[in-house]
Amino acid sequence: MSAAGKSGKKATASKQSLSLSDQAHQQILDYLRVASENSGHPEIRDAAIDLAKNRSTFQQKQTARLSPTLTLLACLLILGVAGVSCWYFYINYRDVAPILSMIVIGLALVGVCLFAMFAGQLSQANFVVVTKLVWSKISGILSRSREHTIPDPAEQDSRPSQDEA
Amino acid sequence: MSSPKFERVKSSNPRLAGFLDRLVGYIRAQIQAGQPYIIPKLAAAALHLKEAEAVVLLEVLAKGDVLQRIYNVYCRNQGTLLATVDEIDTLDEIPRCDDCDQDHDSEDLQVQIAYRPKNGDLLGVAA
Repeated sequence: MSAAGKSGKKATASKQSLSLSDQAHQQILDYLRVASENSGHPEIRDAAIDLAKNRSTFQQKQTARLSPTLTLLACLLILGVAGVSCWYFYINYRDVAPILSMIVIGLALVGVCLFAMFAGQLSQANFVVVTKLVWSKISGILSRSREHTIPDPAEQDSRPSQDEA
Repeated sequence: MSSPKFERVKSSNPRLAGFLDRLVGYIRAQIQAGQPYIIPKLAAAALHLKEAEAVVLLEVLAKGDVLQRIYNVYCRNQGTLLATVDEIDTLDEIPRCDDCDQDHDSEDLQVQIAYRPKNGDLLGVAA
């Protein structure tokens, strides 16, 4: 328990509210973390880091809520719908098709990552990174398209109105 | 003569070979003394290591199928051992605590990890 003891009262309090299997998993991770941070032997430190990585991946897969097959099917469906949507945009809305396609592809990517996260193939941290990246791209595209579509007020004033003509 | 599994673990972790040899020596001594389980804290004290370092070495052996990780579940109130389970999934099926005469919630229980030799490989070496 020394590993848990070193992490202080907060860690102990949170540990008490965990299920026993979570407590056990957390206890092993605590030991590995302490060894990787405080061990005086570099070879043990390296081994602790490797074990912690493997353990986290294993736990992520253990706590997966969706089966890999279902996830694969859902991802294929999302990508298929995104592909059909892009095709539809290029056929019917040629002017705005690139913008709409980019938005749909971004949303499809987020959807795929969401399923991957629930299937234990992607960590929450990486999902957040992907979502932020997609959001920044989409907001960039939207702001650029607004700049192109909204006419400049100064330009609008200088243009002669239809009444004057 | 050494166990083939242990040799495999040593060859895949050459930098830890010295530590692993000392640890296996300790495990053999424990088995010969009739101790079925290897407690990380005791192993650490015997090898002059920190407890977390001993856990890393024991985990390396467990990953190499030489040891098996087990879980000892204790009643927090009485400090008595309620159960020893092999699988982490069975931790949530802990029997009733006879000392307290009640079914404890998880917060009233404490789990501690320990290890035991798998398939008697190291026992064979000790003999």
